[in-house]
Amino acid sequence: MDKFRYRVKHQKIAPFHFISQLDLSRLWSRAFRRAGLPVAYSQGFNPRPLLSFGPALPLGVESRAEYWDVFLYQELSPEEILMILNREVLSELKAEEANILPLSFPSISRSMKGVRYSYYFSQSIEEKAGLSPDMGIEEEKREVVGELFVVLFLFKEEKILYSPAKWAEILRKEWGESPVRIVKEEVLW
Amino acid sequence: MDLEKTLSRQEMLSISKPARYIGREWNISLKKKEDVEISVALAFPDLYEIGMSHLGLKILYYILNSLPGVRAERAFAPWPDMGKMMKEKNIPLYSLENKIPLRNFDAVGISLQHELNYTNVLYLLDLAGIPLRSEERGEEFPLILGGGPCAFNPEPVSPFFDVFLLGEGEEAIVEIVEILRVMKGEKRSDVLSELAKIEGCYVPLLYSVSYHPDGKIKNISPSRVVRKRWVKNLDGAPYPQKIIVPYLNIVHDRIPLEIARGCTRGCRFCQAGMIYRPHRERSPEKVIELAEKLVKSTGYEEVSLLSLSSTDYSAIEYLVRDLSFRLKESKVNVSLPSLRMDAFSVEVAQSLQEVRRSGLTFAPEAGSERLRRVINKGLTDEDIFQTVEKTFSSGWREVKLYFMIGLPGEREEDIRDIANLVKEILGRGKKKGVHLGISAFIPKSHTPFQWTKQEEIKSLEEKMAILHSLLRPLGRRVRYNWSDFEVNLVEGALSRGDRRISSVIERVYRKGGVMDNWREFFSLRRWQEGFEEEGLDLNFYTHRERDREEIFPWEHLSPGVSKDFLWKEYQLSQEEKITPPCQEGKNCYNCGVC
Ligand code: SF4
Repeated sequence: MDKFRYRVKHQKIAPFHFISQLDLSRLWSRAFRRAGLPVAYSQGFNPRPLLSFGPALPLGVESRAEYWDVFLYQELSPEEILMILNREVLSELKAEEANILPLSFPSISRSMKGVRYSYYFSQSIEEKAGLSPDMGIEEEKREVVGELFVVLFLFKEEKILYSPAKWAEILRKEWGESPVRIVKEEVLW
Repeated sequence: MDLEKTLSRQEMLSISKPARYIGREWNISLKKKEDVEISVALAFPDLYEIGMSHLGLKILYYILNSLPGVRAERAFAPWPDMGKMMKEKNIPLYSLENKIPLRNFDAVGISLQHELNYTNVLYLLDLAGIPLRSEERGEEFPLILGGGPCAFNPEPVSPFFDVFLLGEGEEAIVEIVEILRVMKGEKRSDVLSELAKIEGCYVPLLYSVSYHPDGKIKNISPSRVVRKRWVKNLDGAPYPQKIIVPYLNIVHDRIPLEIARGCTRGCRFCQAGMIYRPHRERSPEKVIELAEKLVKSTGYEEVSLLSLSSTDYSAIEYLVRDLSFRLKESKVNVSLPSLRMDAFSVEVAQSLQEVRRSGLTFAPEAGSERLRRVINKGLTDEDIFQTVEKTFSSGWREVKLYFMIGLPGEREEDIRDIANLVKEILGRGKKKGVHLGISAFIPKSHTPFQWTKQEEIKSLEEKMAILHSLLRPLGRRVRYNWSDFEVNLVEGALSRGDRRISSVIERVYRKGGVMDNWREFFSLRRWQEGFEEEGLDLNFYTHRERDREEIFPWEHLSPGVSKDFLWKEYQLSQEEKITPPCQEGKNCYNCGVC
C-alpha cells in the first residue's frame, strides 16, 4: 500500500502543558482511532501508530508550535486532515497546519534551525532584569504586555535542543524570579 | 474557581503528576449552569489513577449526566503533596469538570471500594470544608451518599454519611436524584426520611445500636432490614456509550465492558461472590454493540471483558472470536482479566489476538485439595497441573498464581502443599516460571466465614517463614510476593467493625492518616493508638470466633443472601464439603437472592 507522510503542527496550551510527552502520544493515537484516520501502524503484538515527535517539551512549557509526523495509507488534503483532527481534540491542542512531505524527508529534530520561546515574568522585574546571561541563547525582544514582562529568546544552532526549563532556572538565578509562563512560539526551519 | 490563577506554574510543577488535577479530559460532561437543577459530585476516596479505573463511577456519571437538569462532576483524593498545598493555600476540594467546590453541590456520592480508603473519606470531606459527621452538617451542606461493596457493612463510617445505597445503583440513583429535585430547599431531616423509603437506601441516623457489657451488640433498632437493589436484566440496564479518556496512564487504561455480574461458584471467602448474586449476563449482541460504540467514542486500543469469572460467560468463545474479528482492523485488542482455572480458559485466552506471551494469571487460593474444599474452590491438583501445562505448551512463559494463607482450618501441611504445587509445576514446564501472589485471608461480612477468626500476624509470619524456606531453594524461576499483614489486620477490623470504630477512624485521620492503602503512608502504630484512645480492642473485631447467635453490626443490611444459608455453608466448610455452582431453577440452594 502507498504511504503518505504528513507533518502536523498543533498547539499545546495550558492546562495541557501539564501532560507529558508520553501522554501526548497516547492522546493523538486515540484521536486518530476516533477520527478513523487510515494511519499506518507498527508491526508486532501491540501495534502503535507510526507517529514521530520532535524534541520533547518539558512539563510546564506551553507551545504554539508542536509538531509530529505521521504516515497515512490514503492521500488527504491538509484541510481535510485538520478538520478531522480538530473534531477529536480540545481547542488547547488545535491542529493548525498540515503539510505533505516526501517519505524520505529528514525528521523534525533534524529539520529544525531554531526555536523561539517567550518567557513571561511579573512586571516588577522589568527594572531588576539585567542582561541575560551569555550562553549562546539570543535575546530578541523585551516588552511589557498587560501586567507582564515578556522576553523573547531564540535558541539556535547547538542550543536548539537546550531545555527551556533549564534556561528558566538560569534566569531565575540571575533575575531572582521564575517565569509565570513559558511558551514555545515558533520553530524556524 | 480558576486553578491557573490559584496555583502558579512553579507550584503545580512542585507536586507529583499535576495532570491529575487539571480535568479537560476527552468526553467529560460540561453542563451550563442555567441548565442545572441538581448537582452531584462523584467523589472517589483514592487517587485519580485508581478512581478513574473504576467502572461504577463511569456508569453513574453517564446515567446522571444523561438526566436533564442534572450535573455530575468528578473529584478524587489528591496525593498528599497536593492535599498539603490545597490546605496551605485554602483551596477547597473542587470538581474536575467546572472546578466547583464540592460543598456547593447538592449531594456528594462517595464510592466505598475498600476499607483502607476510610481515612480518605474524611480527607475528602475535610478538604471540601464539609463537617465530617452527619449530625454536624447544617442545611447549607450537601448530602453525603455512600455506595460500593463496603456499603454492606458501612457501620465504621456510618456517622460520616447521610445515606448509603446498597447494591447496584443504576435505578436507585435516578430515584434519589428525583427526590433531591422535588424536595430541594426542604429540611435536611425531611429529605433523609423520604430517601429512607427508597428500596436499598439506608439512613444510619434512623437506626440506633446498643451494646452488651462484653462489647457485643445487644440490639439494632428498628428491626427493619434494608435490602440491596439489583438489576434484573443487564441488557436493559444503562451502560455508557462513551467514557472519559484520561491523559495520564491510569491503572486500567482501557474500555471496561461488563459482560456479566455476579458469580455462581460460591467460594466461601469471597464477598463479591455473595453480594453480587445472582449471576446475570449481558447478551453477546449487546456487548458487541457497546464495544463498537465505545471504541468509536474513545479511541481506546483495548477492550476488557469484565466479570468475576470471564470464562464462565456462556457464549465466551463466540464473543471473543466475533469481537476480536470486528476490532482487528482498527487495531483494538480484546482482553480477559479473570480466567477460571481450566484448559478451556487457556484456549479462550489463546484465541485473543492480543497475545502477550508473558504470563497468564489464575487463583487456586489454597495449596491442598482438602483446603480448597473448605473454601469451596473445587479444583483438584490435576486440574491445576493440566491448566498450567496447557498454558506453557501454548507459549506462555509464566503462570501467576494467587494464594491465601490464614484460611480457616488451615494446617501446616496446606502451606507446604503450596510449595509442593510449585515444585510439580516447575517440573512440568522446563524453563518456565511461576509467580506467586500470597495474601492473608481476611474474613468479610456477608460470607460463610463472617463468623470465623482472622489469623494473628505472628502465626501468619510463621507460615510465611515456612514458605520462604521451601520456595527460596527453588531458585530464580519462582518469584513471589506477599501482602502486608499489618495492613491486613486493620482491613480486617474495619471490614467487620461496628459504629464505635468511627471515632477511631477520625482519630487516625487527625493524626495524619491518609492513603492507608499505600504502604508509604500506612502506620499500624496510628491505628493501635486510635483504638487504645477510644478504649476499644482491635482484636475484638479480628481475632475472635463469633457464635451462631451473635448480632452482627450489618444485621440490618442485606445483600439478599440469608444468614441461614451462610451458616449452612460455614458448617459444610468445616466438614470439608463442596457446594457446586448454583443455577436458578436447576441447582438452587435457596440462598435467598433470586
Ligand atoms: S437463589 Fe439459588 S440460583 Fe439464585 S443465587 Fe441463590 S443459590 Fe443461586
